[in-house]
Amino acid sequence: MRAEFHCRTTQYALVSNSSPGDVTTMTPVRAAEAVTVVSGLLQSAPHVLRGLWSDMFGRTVPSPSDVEIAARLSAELQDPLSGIRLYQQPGRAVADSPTGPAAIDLADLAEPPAVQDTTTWIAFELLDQNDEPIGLLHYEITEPTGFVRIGQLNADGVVFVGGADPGNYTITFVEAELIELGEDGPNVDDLEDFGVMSLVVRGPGGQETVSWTSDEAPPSANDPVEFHIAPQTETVTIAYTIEDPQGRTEEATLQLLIEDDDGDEQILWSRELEADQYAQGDHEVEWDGSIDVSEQFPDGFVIVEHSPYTLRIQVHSQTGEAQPPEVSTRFAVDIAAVELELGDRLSLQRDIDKALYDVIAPAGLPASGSALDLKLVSNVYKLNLAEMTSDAAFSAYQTLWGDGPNVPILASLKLKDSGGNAVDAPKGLGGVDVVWRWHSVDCDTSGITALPKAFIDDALDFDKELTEPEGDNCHVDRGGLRGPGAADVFPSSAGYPPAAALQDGSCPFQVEPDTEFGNVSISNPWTSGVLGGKTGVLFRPSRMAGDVWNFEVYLRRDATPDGPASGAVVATSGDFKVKREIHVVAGLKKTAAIPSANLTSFGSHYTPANMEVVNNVAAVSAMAAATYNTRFAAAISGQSATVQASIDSTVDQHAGGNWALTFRSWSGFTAAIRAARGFTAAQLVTWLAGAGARYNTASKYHSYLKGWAKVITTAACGAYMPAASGITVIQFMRLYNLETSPGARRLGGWAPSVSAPVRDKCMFIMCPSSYGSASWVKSTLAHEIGHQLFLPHSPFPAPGSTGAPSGSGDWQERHDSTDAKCIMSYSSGSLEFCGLCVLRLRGWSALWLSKQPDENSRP
Amino acid sequence: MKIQLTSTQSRFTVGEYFEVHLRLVNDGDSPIEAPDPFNMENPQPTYSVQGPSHADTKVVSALGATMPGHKRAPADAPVATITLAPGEVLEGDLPLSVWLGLRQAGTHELVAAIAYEGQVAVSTKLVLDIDALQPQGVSVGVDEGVPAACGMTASFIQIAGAQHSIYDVVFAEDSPELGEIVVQEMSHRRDLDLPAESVHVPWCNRDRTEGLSSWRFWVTSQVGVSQLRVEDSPLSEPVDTALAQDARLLLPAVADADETLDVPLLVDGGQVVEIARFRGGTAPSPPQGSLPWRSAATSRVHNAGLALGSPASGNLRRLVTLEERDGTATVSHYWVDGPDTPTASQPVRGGQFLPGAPMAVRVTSDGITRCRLLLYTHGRAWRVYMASLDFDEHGRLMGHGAIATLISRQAPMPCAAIEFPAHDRDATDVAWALADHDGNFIWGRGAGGPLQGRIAVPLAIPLQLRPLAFATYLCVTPPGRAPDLVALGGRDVRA
Repeated sequence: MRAEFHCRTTQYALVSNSSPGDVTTMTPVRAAEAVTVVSGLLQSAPHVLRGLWSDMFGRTVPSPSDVEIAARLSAELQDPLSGIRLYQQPGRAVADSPTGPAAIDLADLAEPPAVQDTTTWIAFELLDQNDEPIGLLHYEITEPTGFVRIGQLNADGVVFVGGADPGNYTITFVEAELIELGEDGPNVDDLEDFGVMSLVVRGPGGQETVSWTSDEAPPSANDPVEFHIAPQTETVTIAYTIEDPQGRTEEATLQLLIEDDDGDEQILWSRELEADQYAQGDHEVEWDGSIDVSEQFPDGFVIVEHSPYTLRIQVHSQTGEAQPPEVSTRFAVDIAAVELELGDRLSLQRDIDKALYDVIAPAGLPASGSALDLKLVSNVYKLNLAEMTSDAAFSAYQTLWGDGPNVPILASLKLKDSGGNAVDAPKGLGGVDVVWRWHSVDCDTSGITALPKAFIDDALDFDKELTEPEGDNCHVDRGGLRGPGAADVFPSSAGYPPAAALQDGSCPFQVEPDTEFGNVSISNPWTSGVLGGKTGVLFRPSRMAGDVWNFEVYLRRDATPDGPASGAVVATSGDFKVKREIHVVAGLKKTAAIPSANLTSFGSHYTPANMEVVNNVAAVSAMAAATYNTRFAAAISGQSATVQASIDSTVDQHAGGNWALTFRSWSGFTAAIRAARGFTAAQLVTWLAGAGARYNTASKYHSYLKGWAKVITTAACGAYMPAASGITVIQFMRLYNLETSPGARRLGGWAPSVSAPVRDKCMFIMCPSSYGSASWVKSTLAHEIGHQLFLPHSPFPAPGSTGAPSGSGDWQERHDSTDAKCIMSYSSGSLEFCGLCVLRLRGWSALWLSKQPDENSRP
Repeated sequence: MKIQLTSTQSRFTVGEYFEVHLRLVNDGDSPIEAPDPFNMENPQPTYSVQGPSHADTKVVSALGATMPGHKRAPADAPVATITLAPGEVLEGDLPLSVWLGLRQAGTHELVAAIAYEGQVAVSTKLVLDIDALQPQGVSVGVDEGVPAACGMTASFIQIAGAQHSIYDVVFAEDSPELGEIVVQEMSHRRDLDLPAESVHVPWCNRDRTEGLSSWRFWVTSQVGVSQLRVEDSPLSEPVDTALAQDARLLLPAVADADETLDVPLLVDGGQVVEIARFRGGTAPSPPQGSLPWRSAATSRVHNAGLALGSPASGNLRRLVTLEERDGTATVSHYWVDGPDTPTASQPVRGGQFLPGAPMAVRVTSDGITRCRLLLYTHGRAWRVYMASLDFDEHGRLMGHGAIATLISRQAPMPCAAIEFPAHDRDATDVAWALADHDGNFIWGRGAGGPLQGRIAVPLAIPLQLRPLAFATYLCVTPPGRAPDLVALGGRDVRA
């Protein structure tokens, strides 16, 4: 230890040899001079003296008086073996007065006694008539100046006093009258018994511990300790009774002990009592649980880690055996409750986590038995066709959310006080290891249609009882966090030291995974700072919608392989239900006459996937004519000359009707071609036979208009997509004016890939000719948005049959082969997503999912 | 009321496009209200076809045939009617081949019927003789910078007994976002007097329907003499060019906006590349041919790629050859219409050419020639690489080129292709594909992939890979059916 102060223009350092710090630039002060400095402090600045004492030796019980401190410090400084030395910084002026308990101001310090080179020393030894040393007796030395030095003989009855000026000294033993000397020493037969009779720790409410003397049987180690203290938070009273009418006690020691793993007592801390503290009578000392700072007690308080404690007083005398010689009592420092709460937003690094935090913060964490939806906003849409069959749905979602969302969780550790109350007592938590143990809660598939349910149930039953912990959350082989090798649900964190303010983007606490159990991590609480009394983690459940998680928090002390031991204090979270959330951000229609589609109802198809569709569109709005015409004109001008010939540029496209685009008739088209290219009649014949043969009948011409209209409308409508991430829905009554003409093809809508696709936005354009069927709108929206969410067509009806979808066959691998009623099919009737679609929507990797339901199961 | 069906032709091939003439006559003496046969949302008339394609009579209506999303027509669909005055006739052509699904050869009988408001009219039977389709030698053209909704032109050789014919197909990308292709039309183009193994459609640097020429070319051989036959219109006679016995076509040929077709040829033992040029657009007169450019390489040329710049940039012609010099692949860049010496050459060491030395060449809007080629090594594993070399507008190599590993696997795949996206001249997300003869494929595009899968129908060989805006297609040749384009998907190749 090291405590610094300054006097006049000299800076001093009081150091202990065990950890002196850097004294290489300082010179040692001779013992006599050091004692003088101490004496000066006692006279002029006793508070500095107390500060030095506290810094060097910590806070002790009972607290010594200023005189005692000065005497003991002087003795230590004069004792060559004590290890305490005073150093000074030679010639170093103090520019600024340091503040703090170890600093004093020069103005506070009276002129110290002059330090003379003529000082000498005094040593004496106190012996009884048998030449046996009388140790530990207090003395007072009155110096020639009248200054009284106070001290205590050592156990051999010897004292050394340095720095003594020449002159007459008076030595007084204030306790000497208690010692009755006979010719051959004390008359033992005439002495009365002495001993320590009781020792209790008493709380402010009067509750107190039970004591036992060495003459009594100690309580069993298995007996619960009913008395608790909350260090620093409450002040208890250590009460003990000394029976010693003749003052025979020569030494008394207060000890704090624990039982080690072998049942042996281990002294954690020991303190010699002063004479007045072991004098005859009842004694009471107030105590807040503080003890010396040590490796085991880094905060200088009794802590949960070593509880329960035995407090013991032992008394000794050379005049005989004390009866009883010691008395003990037990108390505990223990957890009363663990309370969970949402941690601080500041702990989060990613904006996406902060946004989720803002959503869940008002409700806070779910209490045990209740549930909280973690809705992961995931407007993640396909960029190209191949992404519907590849695992891009998985990887794009993974790119967005990583292994999962991060939710800061705090566990507030309450300690029991003497009254049995749960209170904050951070200092009692030093060295405590807190266990965080997550669980996989079974997924409820009861509300899902039979075939998808069967598929999902099979897939959920994958190593369900073989992983640690058991459960049906998405297995690591499918991209989840259940099973060996999965990322930690409570990610490791280096943490940072307790502080008055939190650091941005960092988990405050040290968190490490348990090496034995895959679902367990360990964290440590702060014992001070803004989060004193708390520990915490970043809780990172998987991003897989449908996964349900909860966790328990308890002390590692109470951990067993099967979880917390019976009777342990445990906090259990409610269930965290992971869901995905996508947004409808814009709804437009060409004219007000077009009935507005219900942009909300289709979301029910996504319920089995635990995907929620949030409609942020208050009302579908009509497109302004001028903007419409400008955008469509620009889109048309980007087409080939042949396509441009199909559209009369003088036609007001917005006024033309409730369809997206108005084309020329076939005869108008061919006339436009001829005019634009300057063809003769013969050249037109040549063209219609060769290069333009694909347009040489009205039906052929009409058959291209659907494709052209889609290209132009997609290009024009891309500009209607807002900045917000999500889905834009655009409505027409039809796609183009000639839809009912021979050869023409119609469509109800499409989910285009815009020319410069972005991951977070997509569009659906509806043109169903009738909005009369709400179910059509609902299922079509679900189907088309399904495409944008990476789902290809289902291979139903079977390939080769009328209406069968095209594709290379890879599509088939992405659908339940037994479910012809997938909404991504062209089947008729009541349709829902097949089980494989549902799992992909939940975020599962398709890499190892089979289209055969039973191949996904591994019971 | 009478309904009549007629056709100018009674014999077709499986999949061939045809229209049927429908005539609705009010033969009564008072006006009648009848379903409009030319309204595609009408459930009437109905058309019943019986024959090998439909053992059970298939009945279809305009509404049912054109329902969006392949849905069934609602039973209670409203009928759009027209009124015909006494003696009035309503007539027109309907694309019934699209509706009837005649996929089997044989005689089919077609009947139209109307039953409305107590009036019934049934046509006489129209007999349609459908011949089997036996296609080979398909070629799918590319129109650079044009949405595939405008159609992609393909041709193939149809063999019916000893008769070889050229058929044209137009594919349109019906749903780019879903990779759905429709065959807009398959039609007979020309019968050949001499057999041909394949017919070729050139690539265009614009929408080919903007010009007059409709180029096709093919090679015929008779008693050891090969002829390159080129036509610019079904109305014109092809022009013949004699080919040396070891001459080889270097595909694709390119057609520009000036009605010009350039066909690169490899001649003289594989060391000379020459361009056969034809000018067309004058049908029915045949096109005129010439040999405007040739270049002698220093070693054997494995492949060469000719590419056209955009019409706006003056139809720049750039040629890249792949030679093998002393065991090292060498890439050389030429200006066609310029000197016969390369503007730049660059060796690519360490790799070998895949069969056919697949390469892709593209001239960008700003005149840069981009070349991508596939190479392989075969040590412990068979590893395929893509080499990238760009040549600036002056013909100089830009940088030193780059090489990237595409895939590593144990077994080689015998077929390979690499192509730039068709829809955008400046797109850089080149697509590549490897395949075996069982339809197993591995492919990638840009930063995506590799993905693997299998196509159940035979692939057109050499592979014809067509990356479009959002989907990438391979040409397939299902037996007895018209060639088709199939969108590629697949599972991620696992490391």
